[in-house]
Amino acid sequence: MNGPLISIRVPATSANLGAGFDSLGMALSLYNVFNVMKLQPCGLFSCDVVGEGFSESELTSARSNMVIRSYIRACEIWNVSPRGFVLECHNVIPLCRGLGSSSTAVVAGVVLANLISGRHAPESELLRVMTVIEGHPDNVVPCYLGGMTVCCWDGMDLRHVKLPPLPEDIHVVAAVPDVQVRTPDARNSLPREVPFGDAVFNLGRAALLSAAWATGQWDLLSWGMEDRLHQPYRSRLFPGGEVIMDRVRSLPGCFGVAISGSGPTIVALVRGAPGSVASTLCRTFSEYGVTSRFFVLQGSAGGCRFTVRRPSSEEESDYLIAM
Amino acid sequence: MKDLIVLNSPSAKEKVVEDVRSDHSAARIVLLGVPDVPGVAAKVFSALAEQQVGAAMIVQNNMRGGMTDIGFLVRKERLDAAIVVCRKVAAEVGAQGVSFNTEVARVSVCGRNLGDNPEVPAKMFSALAKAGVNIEMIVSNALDITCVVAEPSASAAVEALQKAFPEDLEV
Repeated sequence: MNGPLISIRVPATSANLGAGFDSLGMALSLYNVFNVMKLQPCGLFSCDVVGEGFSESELTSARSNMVIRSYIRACEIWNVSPRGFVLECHNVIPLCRGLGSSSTAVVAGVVLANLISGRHAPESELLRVMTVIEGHPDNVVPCYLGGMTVCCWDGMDLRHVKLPPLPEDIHVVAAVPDVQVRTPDARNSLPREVPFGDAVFNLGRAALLSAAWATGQWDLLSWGMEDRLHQPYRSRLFPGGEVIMDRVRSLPGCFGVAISGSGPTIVALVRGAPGSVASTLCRTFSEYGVTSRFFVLQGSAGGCRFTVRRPSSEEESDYLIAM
Repeated sequence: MKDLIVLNSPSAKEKVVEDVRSDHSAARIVLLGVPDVPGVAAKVFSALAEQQVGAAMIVQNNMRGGMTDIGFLVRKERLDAAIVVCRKVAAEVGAQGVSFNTEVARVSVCGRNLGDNPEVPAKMFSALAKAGVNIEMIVSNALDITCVVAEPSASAAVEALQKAFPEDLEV
Protein backbone atom coordinates (compact mmCIF):
# COMPACT_ATOMS: atom_id res chain seq x y z
CA MET A 1 0.00 0.00 0.00
CA ASN A 2 1.22 3.49 -0.80
CA GLY A 3 1.96 5.91 2.03
CA PRO A 4 0.36 9.33 2.41
CA LEU A 5 0.40 11.76 -0.51
CA ILE A 6 1.19 14.59 1.89
CA SER A 7 2.45 14.22 5.45
CA ILE A 8 2.65 17.27 7.72
CA ARG A 9 4.38 17.21 11.12
CA VAL A 10 3.50 20.16 13.36
CA PRO A 11 4.84 21.00 16.85
CA ALA A 12 3.05 21.81 20.09
CA THR A 13 3.44 25.36 21.33
CA SER A 14 3.39 27.21 24.61
CA ALA A 15 1.84 30.65 24.04
CA ASN A 16 1.00 33.57 26.35
CA LEU A 17 4.41 32.79 27.78
CA GLY A 18 4.85 34.51 31.15
CA ALA A 19 4.33 38.24 30.75
CA GLY A 20 3.91 37.90 26.97
CA PHE A 21 0.14 37.58 26.75
CA ASP A 22 -0.93 37.07 23.11
CA SER A 23 2.60 37.90 21.97
CA LEU A 24 5.26 35.39 23.12
CA GLY A 25 5.22 31.72 22.21
CA MET A 26 7.61 28.84 21.70
CA ALA A 27 7.52 25.61 19.72
CA LEU A 28 7.93 22.38 21.71
CA SER A 29 9.25 19.01 20.61
CA LEU A 30 5.92 17.18 20.67
CA TYR A 31 4.29 16.70 17.28
CA ASN A 32 0.94 16.00 15.67
CA VAL A 33 1.11 14.36 12.25
CA PHE A 34 -1.55 14.92 9.59
CA ASN A 35 -1.57 12.71 6.52
CA VAL A 36 -3.53 13.24 3.32
CA MET A 37 -4.01 9.71 2.05
CA LYS A 38 -5.98 10.42 -1.09
CA LEU A 39 -7.39 13.38 -3.02
CA GLN A 40 -11.13 13.50 -3.67
CA PRO A 41 -13.56 15.65 -5.63
CA CYS A 42 -14.13 19.23 -4.55
CA GLY A 43 -15.79 19.52 -1.13
CA LEU A 44 -15.69 15.78 -0.34
CA PHE A 45 -13.77 15.08 2.87
CA SER A 46 -13.35 12.27 5.35
CA CYS A 47 -11.08 11.92 8.34
CA ASP A 48 -9.80 9.40 10.84
CA VAL A 49 -8.25 10.32 14.18
CA VAL A 50 -5.68 8.21 16.02
CA GLY A 51 -4.62 9.15 19.55
CA GLU A 52 -5.82 12.28 21.32
CA GLY A 53 -9.44 13.08 20.46
CA PHE A 54 -10.14 9.80 18.66
CA SER A 55 -13.53 9.56 20.39
CA GLU A 56 -14.50 13.22 20.08
CA SER A 57 -16.98 13.87 17.29
CA GLU A 58 -15.70 17.43 16.92
CA LEU A 59 -12.45 15.96 15.58
CA THR A 60 -13.65 12.81 13.84
CA SER A 61 -16.41 14.52 11.87
CA ALA A 62 -15.10 15.95 8.61
CA ARG A 63 -17.62 18.77 8.99
CA SER A 64 -16.08 20.05 12.22
CA ASN A 65 -12.49 18.79 12.05
CA MET A 66 -10.25 21.83 12.51
CA VAL A 67 -7.69 20.83 9.86
CA ILE A 68 -10.41 20.54 7.23
CA ARG A 69 -12.20 23.69 8.39
CA SER A 70 -8.94 25.67 8.28
CA TYR A 71 -8.15 24.25 4.85
CA ILE A 72 -11.56 25.32 3.52
CA ARG A 73 -11.24 28.75 5.17
CA ALA A 74 -7.81 29.29 3.59
CA CYS A 75 -9.21 28.24 0.21
CA GLU A 76 -12.01 30.79 0.67
CA ILE A 77 -9.52 33.53 1.54
CA TRP A 78 -7.49 32.68 -1.57
CA ASN A 79 -10.61 32.18 -3.67
CA VAL A 80 -9.72 28.66 -4.83
CA SER A 81 -11.91 25.55 -4.96
CA PRO A 82 -11.35 23.27 -1.95
CA ARG A 83 -10.34 19.94 -3.45
CA GLY A 84 -11.47 17.17 -1.08
CA PHE A 85 -9.22 14.59 0.59
CA VAL A 86 -9.02 11.68 2.99
CA LEU A 87 -7.27 12.86 6.14
CA GLU A 88 -5.57 10.81 8.84
CA CYS A 89 -4.74 12.66 12.09
CA HIS A 90 -2.15 11.19 14.46
CA ASN A 91 -2.62 13.33 17.55
CA VAL A 92 -0.34 13.14 20.57
CA ILE A 93 -0.67 16.74 21.78
CA PRO A 94 -3.24 16.76 24.59
CA LEU A 95 -6.47 18.56 23.69
CA CYS A 96 -7.66 21.72 25.46
CA ARG A 97 -4.62 21.74 27.76
CA GLY A 98 -2.84 24.88 26.56
CA LEU A 99 -0.29 23.18 24.30
CA GLY A 100 -1.58 24.50 21.00
CA SER A 101 -3.27 21.37 19.63
CA SER A 102 -5.84 23.45 17.71
CA SER A 103 -3.06 25.60 16.27
CA THR A 104 -1.41 22.52 14.80
CA ALA A 105 -4.68 21.91 12.95
CA VAL A 106 -4.86 25.51 11.71
CA VAL A 107 -1.25 25.45 10.50
CA ALA A 108 -1.75 22.08 8.78
CA GLY A 109 -4.97 23.23 7.11
CA VAL A 110 -3.38 26.36 5.67
CA VAL A 111 -0.28 24.48 4.51
CA LEU A 112 -2.50 21.89 2.82
CA ALA A 113 -4.48 24.62 1.07
CA ASN A 114 -1.23 26.13 -0.16
CA LEU A 115 0.11 22.79 -1.41
CA ILE A 116 -3.04 21.38 -2.96
CA SER A 117 -4.02 24.64 -4.67
CA GLY A 118 -0.47 25.10 -5.95
CA ARG A 119 -0.59 28.70 -4.75
CA HIS A 120 3.02 28.87 -3.50
CA ALA A 121 2.16 31.65 -1.08
CA PRO A 122 5.12 33.30 0.65
CA GLU A 123 5.75 32.71 4.34
CA SER A 124 4.35 36.11 5.35
CA GLU A 125 1.05 35.37 3.60
CA LEU A 126 0.79 31.90 5.18
CA LEU A 127 1.38 33.34 8.66
CA ARG A 128 -1.18 36.09 8.08
CA VAL A 129 -3.87 33.60 7.00
CA MET A 130 -3.06 31.30 9.93
CA THR A 131 -3.40 34.24 12.34
CA VAL A 132 -6.69 35.35 10.78
CA ILE A 133 -8.11 31.84 11.28
CA GLU A 134 -6.69 31.35 14.80
CA GLY A 135 -7.45 34.90 15.96
CA HIS A 136 -4.10 35.53 17.63
CA PRO A 137 -0.52 34.89 16.53
CA ASP A 138 1.43 33.52 19.49
CA ASN A 139 0.62 29.85 18.82
CA VAL A 140 0.51 29.65 15.02
CA VAL A 141 3.67 31.68 14.36
CA PRO A 142 6.06 29.55 16.47
CA CYS A 143 4.11 26.47 15.37
CA TYR A 144 4.89 27.19 11.74
CA LEU A 145 8.35 28.72 12.13
CA GLY A 146 9.64 26.79 15.15
CA GLY A 147 11.62 28.29 18.01
CA MET A 148 10.63 31.18 20.27
CA THR A 149 8.84 34.10 18.62
CA VAL A 150 7.66 37.58 19.55
CA CYS A 151 4.54 38.62 17.61
CA CYS A 152 2.37 41.69 17.17
CA TRP A 153 -0.98 41.54 15.36
CA ASP A 154 -3.32 44.45 14.69
CA GLY A 155 -6.11 42.44 13.13
CA MET A 156 -4.76 42.97 9.62
CA ASP A 157 -0.99 42.85 9.68
CA LEU A 158 1.52 40.74 11.53
CA ARG A 159 5.03 41.53 12.67
CA HIS A 160 7.22 38.92 14.30
CA VAL A 161 10.78 38.24 15.44
CA LYS A 162 12.25 34.79 15.96
CA LEU A 163 14.59 34.64 18.96
CA PRO A 164 17.71 32.48 19.34
CA PRO A 165 17.23 28.89 20.52
CA LEU A 166 17.34 27.86 24.16
CA PRO A 167 20.59 26.12 25.13
CA GLU A 168 20.24 22.33 24.95
CA ASP A 169 20.74 21.89 28.69
CA ILE A 170 17.62 23.94 29.44
CA HIS A 171 14.53 21.74 29.28
CA VAL A 172 10.88 22.65 29.20
CA VAL A 173 8.95 20.47 31.63
CA ALA A 174 5.25 20.51 30.75
CA ALA A 175 2.97 19.00 33.40
CA VAL A 176 -0.42 18.18 31.91
CA PRO A 177 -3.30 17.56 34.34
CA ASP A 178 -6.22 15.42 33.32
CA VAL A 179 -8.67 18.33 33.23
CA GLN A 180 -9.57 20.54 30.30
CA VAL A 181 -9.83 24.32 30.16
CA ARG A 182 -11.77 25.43 27.11
CA THR A 183 -10.26 28.46 25.42
CA PRO A 184 -13.55 30.48 25.59
CA ASP A 185 -13.74 29.84 29.37
CA ALA A 186 -10.13 30.95 29.72
CA ARG A 187 -10.83 34.12 27.71
CA ASN A 188 -13.97 34.89 29.73
CA SER A 189 -12.05 34.58 32.99
CA LEU A 190 -10.01 37.67 32.17
CA PRO A 191 -11.04 41.14 33.39
CA ARG A 192 -12.11 43.77 30.86
CA GLU A 193 -9.77 46.30 32.47
CA VAL A 194 -6.61 45.91 34.51
CA PRO A 195 -5.03 48.27 37.05
CA PHE A 196 -2.44 50.60 35.56
CA GLY A 197 0.18 49.20 37.95
CA ASP A 198 -0.41 45.66 36.63
CA ALA A 199 -0.02 46.86 33.05
CA VAL A 200 3.29 48.53 33.92
CA PHE A 201 4.39 45.38 35.78
CA ASN A 202 3.79 43.29 32.65
CA LEU A 203 5.40 45.75 30.26
CA GLY A 204 8.66 45.55 32.15
CA ARG A 205 8.55 41.77 32.47
CA ALA A 206 7.65 41.14 28.81
CA ALA A 207 10.42 43.45 27.63
CA LEU A 208 12.87 41.78 30.02
CA LEU A 209 11.83 38.30 28.90
CA SER A 210 12.37 39.13 25.23
CA ALA A 211 15.64 40.93 25.84
CA ALA A 212 16.99 38.22 28.14
CA TRP A 213 16.08 35.52 25.61
CA ALA A 214 17.63 37.49 22.76
CA THR A 215 20.90 38.00 24.62
CA GLY A 216 21.13 34.65 26.39
CA GLN A 217 20.80 36.05 29.89
CA TRP A 218 18.81 33.03 31.02
CA ASP A 219 18.98 33.81 34.73
CA LEU A 220 16.63 36.75 34.09
CA LEU A 221 13.85 34.54 32.75
CA SER A 222 12.39 33.97 36.21
CA TRP A 223 11.39 37.65 36.31
CA GLY A 224 10.21 37.61 32.72
CA MET A 225 7.89 34.69 33.37
CA GLU A 226 5.99 36.66 36.03
CA ASP A 227 2.61 38.02 34.99
CA ARG A 228 -0.38 39.92 36.32
CA LEU A 229 -2.60 40.03 33.21
CA HIS A 230 -3.76 36.45 32.82
CA GLN A 231 -2.10 33.91 35.11
CA PRO A 232 -3.69 35.12 38.38
CA TYR A 233 -7.14 34.73 36.83
CA ARG A 234 -6.59 31.52 34.92
CA SER A 235 -4.85 29.73 37.77
CA ARG A 236 -8.28 29.64 39.46
CA LEU A 237 -9.76 27.58 36.63
CA PHE A 238 -8.06 24.28 37.51
CA PRO A 239 -7.31 22.38 40.73
CA GLY A 240 -3.96 23.27 42.28
CA GLY A 241 -3.43 26.18 39.91
CA GLU A 242 -3.08 28.80 42.63
CA VAL A 243 -0.27 27.01 44.52
CA ILE A 244 1.60 24.98 41.95
CA MET A 245 3.83 27.70 40.49
CA ASP A 246 4.97 28.94 43.92
CA ARG A 247 5.99 25.42 44.90
CA VAL A 248 8.11 24.83 41.83
CA ARG A 249 9.66 28.25 41.32
CA SER A 250 12.20 27.86 44.12
CA LEU A 251 13.33 24.32 43.30
CA PRO A 252 17.00 23.87 42.28
CA GLY A 253 17.49 24.24 38.53
CA CYS A 254 14.08 25.87 37.92
CA PHE A 255 14.32 29.43 36.67
CA GLY A 256 10.92 30.12 35.26
CA VAL A 257 7.42 28.70 35.51
CA ALA A 258 4.21 29.71 33.77
CA ILE A 259 0.77 28.60 32.68
CA SER A 260 1.04 27.33 29.12
CA GLY A 261 -1.38 29.02 26.76
CA SER A 262 -4.67 29.36 28.57
CA GLY A 263 -3.89 26.39 30.82
CA PRO A 264 -4.12 24.08 32.62
CA THR A 265 -0.68 22.80 31.58
CA ILE A 266 2.18 24.27 33.60
CA VAL A 267 5.57 24.75 31.92
CA ALA A 268 8.80 25.10 33.84
CA LEU A 269 12.22 25.95 32.42
CA VAL A 270 14.74 23.67 34.08
CA ARG A 271 18.51 23.47 33.78
CA GLY A 272 19.91 20.01 34.52
CA ALA A 273 17.94 16.94 35.59
CA PRO A 274 14.21 17.69 35.33
CA GLY A 275 12.86 14.78 37.42
CA SER A 276 12.35 16.56 40.74
CA VAL A 277 10.60 19.58 39.20
CA ALA A 278 8.35 17.30 37.14
CA SER A 279 7.56 15.10 40.14
CA THR A 280 6.68 18.13 42.27
CA LEU A 281 4.35 19.46 39.58
CA CYS A 282 2.55 16.15 39.21
CA ARG A 283 2.44 15.46 42.96
CA THR A 284 0.80 18.84 43.50
CA PHE A 285 -1.88 18.03 40.95
CA SER A 286 -2.42 14.69 42.74
CA GLU A 287 -2.87 16.50 46.07
CA TYR A 288 -5.72 18.39 44.47
CA GLY A 289 -7.32 15.22 43.15
CA VAL A 290 -6.15 15.45 39.56
CA THR A 291 -4.04 12.87 37.77
CA SER A 292 -1.38 14.20 35.42
CA ARG A 293 1.55 13.26 33.24
CA PHE A 294 4.51 15.26 32.05
CA PHE A 295 6.69 15.84 29.01
CA VAL A 296 10.31 16.95 28.95
CA LEU A 297 10.61 19.00 25.78
CA GLN A 298 13.04 20.97 23.73
CA GLY A 299 12.01 24.61 23.95
CA SER A 300 13.22 25.60 20.49
CA ALA A 301 11.80 22.81 18.39
CA GLY A 302 11.69 23.02 14.63
CA GLY A 303 8.49 24.25 13.02
CA CYS A 304 6.08 22.73 10.52
CA ARG A 305 7.64 20.13 8.22
CA PHE A 306 5.98 18.33 5.34
CA THR A 307 6.74 15.73 2.73
CA VAL A 308 4.94 15.29 -0.57
CA ARG A 309 4.95 11.96 -2.38
CA ARG A 310 4.72 11.77 -6.14
CA PRO A 311 1.35 10.08 -6.82
CA SER A 312 1.13 6.80 -8.68
CA SER A 313 -0.61 6.70 -12.04
CA GLU A 314 -3.67 5.12 -10.44
CA GLU A 315 -4.09 7.99 -8.02
CA GLU A 316 -5.84 11.19 -8.80
CA SER A 317 -2.98 13.56 -9.23
CA ASP A 318 -3.86 16.60 -11.28
CA TYR A 319 -3.70 18.97 -8.30
CA LEU A 320 -0.35 17.62 -7.10
CA ILE A 321 1.48 17.66 -10.41
CA ALA A 322 1.98 21.40 -10.11
CA MET A 323 3.91 21.05 -6.84
CA MET B 1 3.39 -43.68 28.52
CA LYS B 2 6.40 -42.45 30.45
CA ASP B 3 6.52 -39.19 28.42
CA LEU B 4 3.02 -38.16 29.40
CA ILE B 5 3.05 -34.98 31.48
CA VAL B 6 0.12 -34.57 33.78
CA LEU B 7 -0.64 -30.95 34.59
CA ASN B 8 -1.95 -30.21 38.05
CA SER B 9 -5.62 -29.44 38.00
CA PRO B 10 -6.54 -27.16 40.89
CA SER B 11 -9.03 -28.61 43.29
CA ALA B 12 -11.81 -26.50 44.71
CA LYS B 13 -9.89 -26.20 47.97
CA GLU B 14 -6.70 -24.84 46.44
CA LYS B 15 -6.01 -21.15 46.71
CA VAL B 16 -6.03 -19.44 43.35
CA VAL B 17 -5.19 -15.88 44.32
CA GLU B 18 -2.55 -16.17 47.01
CA ASP B 19 -1.66 -12.52 47.39
CA VAL B 20 -2.66 -8.99 46.42
CA ARG B 21 0.28 -6.61 46.07
CA SER B 22 0.88 -2.97 45.26
CA ASP B 23 4.09 -1.24 44.24
CA HIS B 24 4.65 2.50 44.16
CA SER B 25 8.26 2.52 43.00
CA ALA B 26 7.73 2.72 39.23
CA ALA B 27 7.25 5.53 36.72
CA ARG B 28 5.48 5.02 33.41
CA ILE B 29 7.01 6.07 30.10
CA VAL B 30 5.28 6.04 26.71
CA LEU B 31 7.04 6.66 23.40
CA LEU B 32 4.30 8.17 21.27
CA GLY B 33 3.91 7.77 17.53
CA VAL B 34 6.90 5.56 16.91
CA PRO B 35 7.38 4.85 13.19
CA ASP B 36 6.90 1.34 11.80
CA VAL B 37 10.58 0.62 11.24
CA PRO B 38 12.42 -2.58 12.26
CA GLY B 39 14.81 -2.15 15.17
CA VAL B 40 13.15 0.71 17.04
CA ALA B 41 12.40 -1.36 20.16
CA ALA B 42 15.92 -2.76 20.08
CA LYS B 43 17.33 0.76 19.93
CA VAL B 44 15.20 1.99 22.85
CA PHE B 45 15.90 -0.85 25.24
CA SER B 46 19.56 -1.22 24.28
CA ALA B 47 20.06 2.47 25.07
CA LEU B 48 18.27 2.05 28.40
CA ALA B 49 20.36 -1.01 29.22
CA GLU B 50 23.58 0.90 28.50
CA GLN B 51 22.54 3.38 31.18
CA GLN B 52 21.60 0.57 33.59
CA VAL B 53 17.91 1.45 33.40
CA GLY B 54 15.71 -1.65 33.73
CA ALA B 55 12.34 -1.69 31.98
CA ALA B 56 9.28 -3.73 32.92
CA MET B 57 5.74 -4.24 31.62
CA ILE B 58 6.76 -3.41 28.06
CA VAL B 59 3.67 -3.01 25.87
CA GLN B 60 3.44 -2.10 22.19
CA ASN B 61 0.04 -0.98 20.95
CA ASN B 62 -1.55 -2.05 17.69
CA MET B 63 0.00 -0.32 14.70
CA ARG B 64 -2.24 2.24 12.97
CA GLY B 65 -1.24 4.30 10.00
CA GLY B 66 2.37 3.17 10.22
CA MET B 67 2.87 4.33 13.81
CA THR B 68 2.55 2.82 17.25
CA ASP B 69 3.12 3.59 20.95
CA ILE B 70 5.58 1.73 23.19
CA GLY B 71 4.89 1.92 26.92
CA PHE B 72 6.89 0.54 29.86
CA LEU B 73 7.83 1.12 33.49
CA VAL B 74 11.15 2.11 35.05
CA ARG B 75 12.08 2.59 38.69
CA LYS B 76 11.52 6.16 39.86
CA GLU B 77 15.11 6.56 41.04
CA ARG B 78 16.29 5.90 37.47
CA LEU B 79 13.79 8.30 35.91
CA ASP B 80 16.23 11.12 35.12
CA ALA B 81 18.52 8.71 33.27
CA ALA B 82 15.52 7.25 31.44
CA ILE B 83 14.33 10.74 30.41
CA VAL B 84 17.67 11.49 28.77
CA VAL B 85 17.74 8.18 26.92
CA CYS B 86 14.12 8.24 25.76
CA ARG B 87 14.25 11.82 24.48
CA LYS B 88 17.40 11.06 22.52
CA VAL B 89 16.06 7.87 20.98
CA ALA B 90 12.66 9.44 20.24
CA ALA B 91 14.37 12.24 18.30
CA GLU B 92 16.59 9.76 16.44
CA VAL B 93 13.74 7.51 15.31
CA GLY B 94 11.32 10.35 14.56
CA ALA B 95 8.76 9.55 17.26
CA GLN B 96 6.07 12.14 17.90
CA GLY B 97 7.04 12.52 21.57
CA VAL B 98 7.55 10.86 24.95
CA SER B 99 5.30 11.14 27.99
CA PHE B 100 6.21 10.38 31.61
CA ASN B 101 4.05 9.64 34.63
CA THR B 102 5.36 9.34 38.18
CA GLU B 103 1.94 9.22 39.82
CA VAL B 104 1.25 5.55 39.07
CA ALA B 105 1.19 2.31 41.03
CA ARG B 106 1.22 -1.36 40.15
CA VAL B 107 -1.51 -3.54 41.65
CA SER B 108 -1.20 -7.31 41.24
CA VAL B 109 -3.00 -10.50 42.09
CA CYS B 110 -0.59 -13.42 42.43
CA GLY B 111 -1.03 -17.20 42.45
CA ARG B 112 0.49 -20.37 41.05
CA ASN B 113 -2.65 -21.46 39.18
CA LEU B 114 -3.88 -18.23 37.59
CA GLY B 115 -3.57 -19.63 34.08
CA ASP B 116 -5.96 -22.48 34.89
CA ASN B 117 -8.62 -20.15 36.30
CA PRO B 118 -10.06 -17.96 33.56
CA GLU B 119 -12.51 -16.31 35.97
CA VAL B 120 -9.68 -14.52 37.83
CA PRO B 121 -8.99 -11.70 35.34
CA ALA B 122 -12.72 -11.13 34.84
CA LYS B 123 -13.25 -10.96 38.59
CA MET B 124 -10.21 -8.69 39.05
CA PHE B 125 -11.16 -6.18 36.36
CA SER B 126 -14.81 -6.15 37.48
CA ALA B 127 -13.75 -5.43 41.07
CA LEU B 128 -11.54 -2.55 39.93
CA ALA B 129 -14.28 -1.15 37.72
CA LYS B 130 -16.81 -1.35 40.56
CA ALA B 131 -14.37 0.58 42.77
CA GLY B 132 -14.04 3.25 40.06
CA VAL B 133 -10.39 2.45 39.40
CA ASN B 134 -9.27 3.13 35.85
CA ILE B 135 -6.69 0.71 34.45
CA GLU B 136 -3.88 2.27 32.42
CA MET B 137 -1.90 -0.86 31.53
CA ILE B 138 -2.42 -4.62 31.96
CA VAL B 139 0.19 -7.34 31.80
CA SER B 140 -0.27 -10.96 32.85
CA ASN B 141 1.78 -14.13 33.06
CA ALA B 142 1.34 -17.53 34.68
CA LEU B 143 1.99 -16.21 38.17
CA ASP B 144 0.39 -12.77 38.33
CA ILE B 145 -1.92 -10.27 36.69
CA THR B 146 -0.70 -6.70 37.09
CA CYS B 147 -2.52 -3.46 36.40
CA VAL B 148 -1.02 0.02 36.36
CA VAL B 149 -3.39 2.50 37.99
CA ALA B 150 -3.19 6.13 39.12
CA GLU B 151 -1.30 6.21 42.42
CA PRO B 152 -4.07 7.92 44.41
CA SER B 153 -6.45 5.07 43.55
CA ALA B 154 -4.01 2.27 44.47
CA SER B 155 -5.29 1.78 48.02
CA ALA B 156 -8.90 1.57 46.77
CA ALA B 157 -7.73 -0.95 44.18
CA VAL B 158 -6.02 -3.16 46.76
CA GLU B 159 -9.04 -3.02 49.06
CA ALA B 160 -11.37 -3.95 46.18
CA LEU B 161 -9.21 -6.92 45.21
CA GLN B 162 -8.93 -8.19 48.78
CA LYS B 163 -12.72 -8.13 48.96
CA ALA B 164 -13.07 -9.82 45.56
CA PHE B 165 -10.95 -12.81 46.53
CA PRO B 166 -11.73 -13.28 50.26
CA GLU B 167 -11.65 -17.10 50.47
CA ASP B 168 -8.33 -17.30 48.71
CA LEU B 169 -6.65 -14.73 50.89
CA GLU B 170 -8.11 -15.85 54.23
CA VAL B 171 -6.68 -19.40 54.07
